[in-house]
Amino acid sequence: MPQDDYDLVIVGAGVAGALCAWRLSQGPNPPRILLLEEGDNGLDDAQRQAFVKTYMEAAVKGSTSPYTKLDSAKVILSPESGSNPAVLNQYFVEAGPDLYKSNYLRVLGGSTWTWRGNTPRFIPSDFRLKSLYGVADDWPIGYDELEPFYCEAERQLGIAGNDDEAKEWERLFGAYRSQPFPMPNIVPSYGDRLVMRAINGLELDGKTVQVMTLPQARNSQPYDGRKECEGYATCIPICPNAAKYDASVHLRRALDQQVELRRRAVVTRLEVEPGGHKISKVWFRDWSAPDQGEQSVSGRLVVLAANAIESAKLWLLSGLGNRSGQVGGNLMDHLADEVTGLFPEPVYPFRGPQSNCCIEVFRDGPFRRTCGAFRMTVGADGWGRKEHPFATLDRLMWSAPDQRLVRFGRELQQAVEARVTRMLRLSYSTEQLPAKTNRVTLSDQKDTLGIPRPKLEYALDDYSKRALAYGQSVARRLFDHIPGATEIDPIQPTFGYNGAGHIMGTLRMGTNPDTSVVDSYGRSHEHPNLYVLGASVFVTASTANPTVTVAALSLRSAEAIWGEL
Amino acid sequence: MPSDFLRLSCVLTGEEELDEDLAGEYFDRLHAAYPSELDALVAGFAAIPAELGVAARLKELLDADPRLAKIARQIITVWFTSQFTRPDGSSDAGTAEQWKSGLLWPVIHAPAPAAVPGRYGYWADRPVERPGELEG
Repeated sequence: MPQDDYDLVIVGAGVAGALCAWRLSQGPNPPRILLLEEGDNGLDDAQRQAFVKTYMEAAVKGSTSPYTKLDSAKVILSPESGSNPAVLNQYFVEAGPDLYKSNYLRVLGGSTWTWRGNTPRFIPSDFRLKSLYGVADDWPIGYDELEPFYCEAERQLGIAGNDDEAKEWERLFGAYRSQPFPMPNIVPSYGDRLVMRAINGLELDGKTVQVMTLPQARNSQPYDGRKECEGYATCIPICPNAAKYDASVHLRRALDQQVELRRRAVVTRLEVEPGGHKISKVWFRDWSAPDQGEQSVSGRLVVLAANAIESAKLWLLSGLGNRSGQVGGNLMDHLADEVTGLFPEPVYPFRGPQSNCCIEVFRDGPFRRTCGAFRMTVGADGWGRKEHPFATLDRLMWSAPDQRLVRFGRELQQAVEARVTRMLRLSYSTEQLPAKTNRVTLSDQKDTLGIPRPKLEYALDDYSKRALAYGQSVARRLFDHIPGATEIDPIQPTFGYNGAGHIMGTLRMGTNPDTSVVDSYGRSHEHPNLYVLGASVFVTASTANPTVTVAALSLRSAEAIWGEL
Repeated sequence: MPSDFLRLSCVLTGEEELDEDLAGEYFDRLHAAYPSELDALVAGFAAIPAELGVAARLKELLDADPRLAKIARQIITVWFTSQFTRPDGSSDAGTAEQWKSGLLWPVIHAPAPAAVPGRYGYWADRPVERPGELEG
């Protein structure tokens, strides 16, 4: 039998692929590993500073604006491709009825360049929704099995957290920790402390509201060769000094350990051996090559570590096994919205990280039988997407109906100061149930390389809508308990939502090949040498930002892969 | 750049002093998008006698002519944010240096985003009068 080109071919150099490649490259006699990645950006500080400059000079400052000048952005379509980077989803073909509103970066390091760095763990009940509440499905693994990998993921990403507050997570949810956080929590802002004073200890629906610091992949002190946070206030879309973790950290380390990287490689399909089930070849096209012709490599094992949309797309493009009928299905996000208001005194947003504190008590409870749970964030970025300070400036100086300048000079300055410094948002990020009918399929429409674009069928179910309504109700009632708060909005559920950028589901894990695509290690039920990493394998969404769970699962998968190699 | 543009900018933004080089850069950008409107406003402003209440007279000028009010709005916007809106609705973005110089940030006691490193944890404190004095 001919020898494979590599022991391991990994498709996608985001946080999952980077951590897996790094872990397997450690120690003597590491396997021969190839990373295939579409992007072509640098991983050094010069690249970071170029991203920062692009951001500062961008007319529209969205979550992808630092990355719009990359050559790859001109060739590889992404959810924000097009003439107006503020308009989402010019890449997805949205079949509706509801819009899937999250996006991602197709670059080395993936979307961790532009994430906020929030890293709450799942809680034990998140893995057992079916057993506990009779909805959705249980995971094939639980908190206990993942806990040691959470600790390792937190060491690798560099998580700042508060060990005393962690005891509260254990008391509320049984979410114990076997290891302390690698470093102390990020300090709350001046405004966070005012909010704590106003609402801590409130009783709502039998729960005691407690504003706590949020575990974050952001350095509160120098860690792992990276500086402490210097409060640039642009966690999304770019951290200027790398105090916030991104996957460039482990990509650099993997490349130092002889892991090979093939840039500009858009994987087009995985080929199955004739008459068998093994993946025999990985086909890709170099978008910078004159003919962009197909090339192939082979690996004893192949790892799909794109994201939940790109991995499912590739699976479908390749015509791989779909015995369960679940491939592409169960696409999820954390539907998020917020209640905003003016705090009675200045809370001084836009100083430091975009969020430092959270309210966790609504992540679990018997209400989950009929209504999704949610996490809450105390924003430190004003009104977020609802009214940027630039919009405040304009509304305070300009009267559109009569085309008049109504304020200027010091009067305008004072009005802007009085409004913006009091802006507070309490946001809620909700649990969406998996549904087979919320799915990624292949569109008839093609991207610039002639590859079918992902078509998304997506509908919010009542369980998920109730979570949005309940989150709104809690956030609004919290504002009601702040004496002197004004302009509280909305005062009733609107069922509007934003995407959280948390793309989950589509290649779910499980023990039964008739109902799941991969096992708990991400190993395909039908293709013995194929693994899937990333939030694709999630069974349910939890309420937690997914990255630290993606990292923990990837490190666990890496152990299984090591065993096979 | 006409010297009156700098004086006009001070009245519109509420600042006692503004950077002259920056004023030249902003004038050029605005003039490329709104040539006749900007010339008309600067000329109208220059004709206001200095000894009278300049702000009140400027307000009368702007209220009398929406064309002038519109360019005044863009002058304020570029000084505060480093960007402004062209007549066709598109956005005219500035340089990184201009972004850092936006007047909005000191008004809300925040450092220009992505631009100004502060000491760790500065956000825990109530800001001093102008950011940069403590955090810079």
